Amino acid sequence: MHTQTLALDRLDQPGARQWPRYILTGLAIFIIGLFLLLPLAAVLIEAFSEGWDLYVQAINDRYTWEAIKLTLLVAAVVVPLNTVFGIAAAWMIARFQFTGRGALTTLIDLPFSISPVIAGLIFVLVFGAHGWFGSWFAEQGFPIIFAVPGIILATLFVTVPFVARELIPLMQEQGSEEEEAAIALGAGSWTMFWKITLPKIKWGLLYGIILCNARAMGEFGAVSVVSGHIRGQTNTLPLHVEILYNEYNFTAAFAVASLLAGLAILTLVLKSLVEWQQARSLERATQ
Amino acid sequence: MSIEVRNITKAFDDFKALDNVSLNVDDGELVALLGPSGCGKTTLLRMIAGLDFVDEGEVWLNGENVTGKHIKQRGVGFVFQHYALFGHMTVFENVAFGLRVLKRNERPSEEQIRKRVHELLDLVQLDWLSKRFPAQLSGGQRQRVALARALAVEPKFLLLDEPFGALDANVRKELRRWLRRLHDELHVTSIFVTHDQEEAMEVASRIVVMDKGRIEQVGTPEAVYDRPASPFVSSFIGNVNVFHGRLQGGTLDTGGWQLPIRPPGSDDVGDDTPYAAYIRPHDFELLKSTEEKLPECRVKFIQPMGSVYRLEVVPEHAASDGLPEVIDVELPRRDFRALNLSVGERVYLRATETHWFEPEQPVLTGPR
Repeated sequence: MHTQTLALDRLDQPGARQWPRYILTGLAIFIIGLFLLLPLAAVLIEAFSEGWDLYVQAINDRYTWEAIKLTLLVAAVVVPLNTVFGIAAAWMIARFQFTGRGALTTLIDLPFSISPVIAGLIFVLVFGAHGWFGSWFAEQGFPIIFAVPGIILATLFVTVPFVARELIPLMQEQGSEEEEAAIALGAGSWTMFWKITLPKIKWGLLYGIILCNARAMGEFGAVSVVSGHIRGQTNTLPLHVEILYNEYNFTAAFAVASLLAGLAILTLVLKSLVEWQQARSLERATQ
Repeated sequence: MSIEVRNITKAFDDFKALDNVSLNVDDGELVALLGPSGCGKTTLLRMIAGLDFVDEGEVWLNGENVTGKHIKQRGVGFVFQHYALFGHMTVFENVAFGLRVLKRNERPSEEQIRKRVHELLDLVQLDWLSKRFPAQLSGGQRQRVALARALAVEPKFLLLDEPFGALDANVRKELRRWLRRLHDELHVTSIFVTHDQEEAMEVASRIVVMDKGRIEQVGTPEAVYDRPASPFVSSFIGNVNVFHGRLQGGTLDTGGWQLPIRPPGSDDVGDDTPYAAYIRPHDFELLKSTEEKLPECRVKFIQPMGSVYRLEVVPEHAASDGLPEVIDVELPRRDFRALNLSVGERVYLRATETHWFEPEQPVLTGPR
């Protein structure tokens, strides 16, 4: 470790050879350009290749609107649920010692470690027409697979870890002394949560929510398996892009894709803002 | 407002943190729980507060059994070791917190809250910092804010967990005196936890010495220092030299090296009875020459410490497991000057006061 620092120091010294620095920086820029910026540019260029009017037309399509609405609906259901779950799980894990604590921590990570397609297939197996409970739900007039509930379930599964993962280390690091102090001063659990716990985790929580939302809107694999791709009914934005593309409707496909790309950029901007705020409040705390 | 703890036992998994502990604290006392880390002192404090619950035993506050009661109903103020100030609130809001979370019908008006908080901040001499955030304060200031915050709800008991543990030496000294004065002013029954014997001696009216989940001794600072009830107390409260040996005539024989001392009132105790003698560094006299039969030592090391000189002397003509390798001796500056000792010189050692223990159990203390 120490020698490494020394080696890096030497790069900064006057008269040190500068080319390793240029080569490394150049390589990084090249890779970022090739694999991140170029595709993004391609999406935008393709989307607007036929001009603004066609772009608007492609987006202003009934099925596109349905897809946008469905995607927003899924996010509106999934993000709050996973926020509540994430806070509860992080609280449990960070504040209490109980049997199965390690297992719970591992389970929360499960969606990260298995392929989303497999996750989708699991839901088909359980709730599909020939699945364990699927026929019962279908008989009640409430089919799950190839319907909106399935999409929500699959998205819920895939996005479980985001909020919890963000909060667990944060809450563990912060410890429970301030919460105990609040209780000792006579605060009820609810007051303690709103006045002490939440303000302390708010930036981390917001960060988790943003990532969770981005994934919920962009999820393809798991949703693709359970959706059935019924236009206007079970088609989310990412699925819609694929359908358009497979129909050789490139301009429309890229136009819709540009919406998702825009969402990604917006997420990044929000994420940076939150990180900046986090750093600032940290700075204030350690002044 | 008395505190009474009856036969408390608490285990964390296999580790017995408290083993059948009983304790009485009278109204208005300022008591120190003193012991090495892991001795159970913080656990005991948290049980009294209601932050942890007992496995067995009872906690009585002011004559009422509160064992099963929530911390809110116990009327205690708790000051945490690392202050636990609310980092996102100003000093003012920190102190006001306990008042703001009161039920609507008990809550004072905004005007009253402001008055009360400023009174408390005046009391801890920090009113000028009321708009700052905790992160902008020094350690000592934070600790005083934490104290003001605990006092805001007018607790009947004040419990402090290592209140000065995280501060540097000068600030500690100042805050100790300040706490003492504050207690004299407020007369709240208080218990504080510390691992620093000097702090306990300076601040507390009584000291509770704990080790391995048990109370070793309860007494005034003077009593635990001068009349330790066990070898542990003797060696934990202040430095001590330990001599293991057997009584042999008028001496304690540590195996070829004799100290001419004998436990008081041990005339009918036979020769060869094993004893341990605990002697504090300042309870030795050094002589350059003597008519008496005193053991010989050689001066190995001299360190001036200001008002005292700390010396290490090595027993001569001795090879015994019962002896310390070096004997720590502290001489007042004037005595040291009068002797005019230098390293390598031969000296004779006389013990002026000794704590005697039968191996594994206390017996007698006293001079000679």
